[in-house]
Amino acid sequence: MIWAITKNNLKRVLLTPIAWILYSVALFILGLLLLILLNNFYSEIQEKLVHLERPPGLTDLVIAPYLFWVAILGIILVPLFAVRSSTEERANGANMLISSAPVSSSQIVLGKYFALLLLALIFTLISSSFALMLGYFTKIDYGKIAIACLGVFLFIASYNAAALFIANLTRIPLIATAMNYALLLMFLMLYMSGSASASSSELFLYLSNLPHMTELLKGSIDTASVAYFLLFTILFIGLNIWQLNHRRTI
Amino acid sequence: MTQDTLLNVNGLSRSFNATVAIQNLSFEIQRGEVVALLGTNGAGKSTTLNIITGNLKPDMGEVLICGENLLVNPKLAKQNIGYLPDTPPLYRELNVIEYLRFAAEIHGIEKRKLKKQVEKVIQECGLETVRRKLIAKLSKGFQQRVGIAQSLVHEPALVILDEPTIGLDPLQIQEIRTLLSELSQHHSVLLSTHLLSEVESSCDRVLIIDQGCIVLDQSLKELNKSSAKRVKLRFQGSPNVEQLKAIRGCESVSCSQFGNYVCRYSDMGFLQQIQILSIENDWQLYEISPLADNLERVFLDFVVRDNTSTNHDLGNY
Repeated sequence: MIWAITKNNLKRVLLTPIAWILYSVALFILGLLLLILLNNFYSEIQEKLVHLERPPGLTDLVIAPYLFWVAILGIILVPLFAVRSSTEERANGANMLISSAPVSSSQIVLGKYFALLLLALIFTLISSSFALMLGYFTKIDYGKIAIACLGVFLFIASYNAAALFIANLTRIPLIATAMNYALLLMFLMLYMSGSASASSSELFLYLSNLPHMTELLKGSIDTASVAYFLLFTILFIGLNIWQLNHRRTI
Repeated sequence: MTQDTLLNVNGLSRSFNATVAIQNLSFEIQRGEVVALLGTNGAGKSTTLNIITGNLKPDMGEVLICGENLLVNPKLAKQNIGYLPDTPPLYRELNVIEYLRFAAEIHGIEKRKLKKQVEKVIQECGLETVRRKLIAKLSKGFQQRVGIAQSLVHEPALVILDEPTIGLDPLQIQEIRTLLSELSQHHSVLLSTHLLSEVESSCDRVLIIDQGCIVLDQSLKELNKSSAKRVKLRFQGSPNVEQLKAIRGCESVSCSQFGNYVCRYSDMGFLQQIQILSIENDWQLYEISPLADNLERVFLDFVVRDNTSTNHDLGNY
């Protein structure tokens, strides 16, 4: 049942040109970013590294920043897919098909979440492959890249749960999209105010999802960050199920 | 409740804040019945249907579908119903086959039966010519057929249709009606509609709901038998309405601005008496025409309380 809902949501997103256009634009931007980062590395950074005893490599100076931007673009795309999957479905009344069927709220939420997860996985794999191509020309640390990619995936995957929850709150796509971006902005503000020298706050940094992702981008598995993403996902999936059940009582 | 009872709605109540939508609603639907749910806008029809289909929780009461309690065991209960809401729940970006396959999957149809079931429902609903077309490209009539097809794909015992002909042109309405009459041969149907002619042509029983309460639950046959008769009278003179009302068997009298009188009566002696009185009082009666006593009349009698003996009795007379 969950797989049927996942398949249907994936199909609905991938059958329309919007998903492909968004993917293409994002990948084009990421291609340009990689080019800029590489150019910067060869023209400015490389010569400064000569003087260092244990200089960081291409993985730390090009691939990690590149993957940071993959994550940022990823969570910019997520709300659009979440709104397509849930808010639009509610707006045109199609959600009544599933809600009248013998399917539980948790099956509905998990089905939709897995569809978004697969879309995130496709995006992470394709965009990461750009960076992996550098392995043909120079030595890169595949272990570090794998952990960084895991960080990117967890970051996008956890935000999927929040985006889906917000998309389920309203039946107006524009409002759902705006609310989603407001949440993104809130996380960014938490990160910025938490890391500002005048008002640095450990709590703000812990609450924001960005520092947890950057921890994993460094290439070592930080269990606290992984736990953060898992808890974040479970919390919002739980809220989603509660919200769907609650909708039947209001 | 017997084994043939498909739906048993017992003491349902539901409020939205201070507004009471339905109140202590109880009725049953037996196997093979086609039941119409009638009511004005805001009477509580959609709330009732939303509760029966598990889209809304009641404040009080229970719903048993084929003996399964919807609130206790929603999955088992929902397997026995097919639902078409007033807006067909369509995924416009899918084609007809893809959509019906999904509808079958979420209703738990086994993989090996899936293709057969989808083909069957495509034949039943006359969708052969559009099976590979995108739902967005279909006419409203065909979209409605697809909506009906999804409610049938898992062969439910009870099909619930909420205003299936709304927004369709007369030709499409006729097509959907034919489909509904075919449907009623194999399934029990609960039909919510505003079109009373539709009810008269295809339903066995009628439930009239008003201000959240069932005000009538009767078979159409009984209804036709028990209805009071109506007659249109025209006079050259001017009879007194009170005198007409005083005649034995007269239930109500309405007078239009054109001098036409519409009387409801329950005793055949009324017609005789009116002729005698006309001669005695020189009212110069020159026309007595019986008026069809249709469902519309009965419906209006139950839902229109104010001014019962004037406006709505007159219609176009």
